[in-house]
Amino acid sequence: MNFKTIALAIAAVGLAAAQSTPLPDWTGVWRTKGSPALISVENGRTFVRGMRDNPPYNDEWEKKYTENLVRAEHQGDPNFPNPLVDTHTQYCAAGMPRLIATPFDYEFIVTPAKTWILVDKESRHIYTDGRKFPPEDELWPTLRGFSIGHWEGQTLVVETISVKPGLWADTTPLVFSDQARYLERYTKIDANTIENRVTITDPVSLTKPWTFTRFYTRMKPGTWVAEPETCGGPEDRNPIVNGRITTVLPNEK
Amino acid sequence: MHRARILAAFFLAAALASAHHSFAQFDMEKTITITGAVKEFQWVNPHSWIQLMVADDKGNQVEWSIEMSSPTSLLRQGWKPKTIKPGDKITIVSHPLRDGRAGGSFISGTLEDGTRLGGSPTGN
Repeated sequence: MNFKTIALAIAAVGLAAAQSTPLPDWTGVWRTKGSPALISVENGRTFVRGMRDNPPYNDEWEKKYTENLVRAEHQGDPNFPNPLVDTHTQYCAAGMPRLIATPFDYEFIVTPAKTWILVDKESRHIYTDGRKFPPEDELWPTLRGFSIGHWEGQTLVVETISVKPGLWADTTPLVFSDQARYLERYTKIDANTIENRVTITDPVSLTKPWTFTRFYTRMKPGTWVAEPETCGGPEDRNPIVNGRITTVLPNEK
Repeated sequence: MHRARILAAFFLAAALASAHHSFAQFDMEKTITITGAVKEFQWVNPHSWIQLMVADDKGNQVEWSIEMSSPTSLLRQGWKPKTIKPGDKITIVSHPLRDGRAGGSFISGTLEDGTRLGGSPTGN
């Protein structure tokens, strides 16, 4: 038996061992720990560069973000000339990367070939069957992008590309370009906590990768997952009218 | 009594609420207090509402709309679909609509017997 044969045999055993590693138990209903915002707020001054926790925007995107913050604060103000309405409201969907930290329930459906992350009425499809991303000419920007993943021991590593540009990443107009890539590393660090270490790269908007960590906490056993929020139905009294959030009173229906 | 649970959950409310839209139509810098009789408790998706009949300065009955959180969020804060019923007298503290119409976003309520009801429509 030569060296090459031995090396191949070792590799084969290693691969078999890796494939036979049982997948982690992530069952249950989970909630984002702490604020759902991606930006950490220090001293209440979320909007002041340097006082808030990134993202490391370049000057052009920082300027755009700062300007849009003012418009966003007035998205329901009837007297403000050009309000900016949250894309979550516009699409009735959070999309990526906001799905990393929302105030909604999370469920992780883990199978060998695919993991689903269910958040409110949205589903993230993370393929772990070894596939690559679709070819460039078959990609287009979508709300949740295209995700592939793989397991490194008990950590699910997820890469997401081709996300629709301009989606708010939290309740502020924190946005990225369609060139952004989202890398997440999900690990269950104790019985009731999943950690997600996130790195966002975007050559268009960022001067360097933006990294942060979020956590999900498991709710008590037996919890019924929340009824997904609906938008635009007859009982939704907060339609977007003329580019701003409104409130419909009973005698105005 | 489940109302006791509502009180216990009061201080956790903000972190549990829902958030598919902003509450920027309300003036979060202001609070108002109104007292009236519940006309209807709308336990509906996406957001629940308390319809409240309140006497204005001239004694005319005005219908107020108080926006709350989603049904599931409310449930987890201790509310139930029949926690308040038509005819219940309640005092509500809310953030008022910016445009002056008879509406607000719920902060807290107090029933005639002194029971405090918590909750918050915002949070994200």
